Amino acid sequence: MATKNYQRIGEVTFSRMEKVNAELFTLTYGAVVTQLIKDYENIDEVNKQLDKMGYNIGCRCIDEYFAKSNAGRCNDFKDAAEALSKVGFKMFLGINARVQSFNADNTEFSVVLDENPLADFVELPDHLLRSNLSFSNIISGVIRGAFEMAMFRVETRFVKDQLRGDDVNEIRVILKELLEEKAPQDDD
Amino acid sequence: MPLYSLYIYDRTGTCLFYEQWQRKRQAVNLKEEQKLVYGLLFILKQFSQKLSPKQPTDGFQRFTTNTYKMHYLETPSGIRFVITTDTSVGDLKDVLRHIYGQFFVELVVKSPSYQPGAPIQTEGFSTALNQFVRTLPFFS
Repeated sequence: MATKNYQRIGEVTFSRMEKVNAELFTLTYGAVVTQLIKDYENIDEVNKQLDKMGYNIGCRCIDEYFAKSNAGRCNDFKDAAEALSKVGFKMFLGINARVQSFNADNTEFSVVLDENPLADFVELPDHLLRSNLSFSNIISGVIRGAFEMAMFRVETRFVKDQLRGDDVNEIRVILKELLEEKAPQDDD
Repeated sequence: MPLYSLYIYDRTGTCLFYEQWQRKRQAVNLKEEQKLVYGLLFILKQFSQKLSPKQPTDGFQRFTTNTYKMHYLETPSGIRFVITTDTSVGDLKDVLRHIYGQFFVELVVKSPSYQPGAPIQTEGFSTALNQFVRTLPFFS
């Protein structure tokens, strides 16, 4: 089966998406994170909440992805990684992402973002730099949610973050389980 | 060329939405019927995959009996759309895709009041769907 041209699908879909003002988006996200830090006073909990918010977003935006991109079902995990980086990131964030560092069994990969619209204008103050705040953790949650809806249960985490002085942003995605459809339950 | 009914299921088999239009014979027990339809879809999909000469397949798209036709769309995320019509109605793939993309995604998934896995309560969905259905050429 010929591989799909995800690059092209991504661009076409992006052109069809409704757009919002990027600055407004960035500042709103920044405000959300700031508020979470105030409310929870515990950075691990903030990371967890961001992940959870992302997960809920991911569970929903997968349907928008399938409906608008017409990209169809992904054949395997590798295919899904391509679709995520070339179509998913393009249509929802307007950026190009790269997939790299697949492990030997094709069960782990990294998504690399050269730019991160969530972190524009952001500088972490010293006390947060010393904490383990993962500012854009919502993205890893979204990936987790969306993949789960596409029958891949994954774990995701930020391993590199430009806010912490790394050269790129990198999210590691680890396949934990291929989900299977369950037969309807017999209730009597 | 009547349009009988529409069912929407999520991947676990919960019936998220049911609406009927020109259905002539009413279900004795609607809940039971919704369950049966889901069971049928599930088995038919597995069956068609087993028989398929090529893998993977997208499953089946419709079947016809001598009194009605059942049209089926399953999204890769596991949402299932089913429409039953009279046998004279042609391919409804585009109609099902339209309901998915324009109404389900825009008015249900994006609505904050929608909880994934729970029946659809958002009013806009039902209204928009009804308007759309009435414009279909075979709705008479």
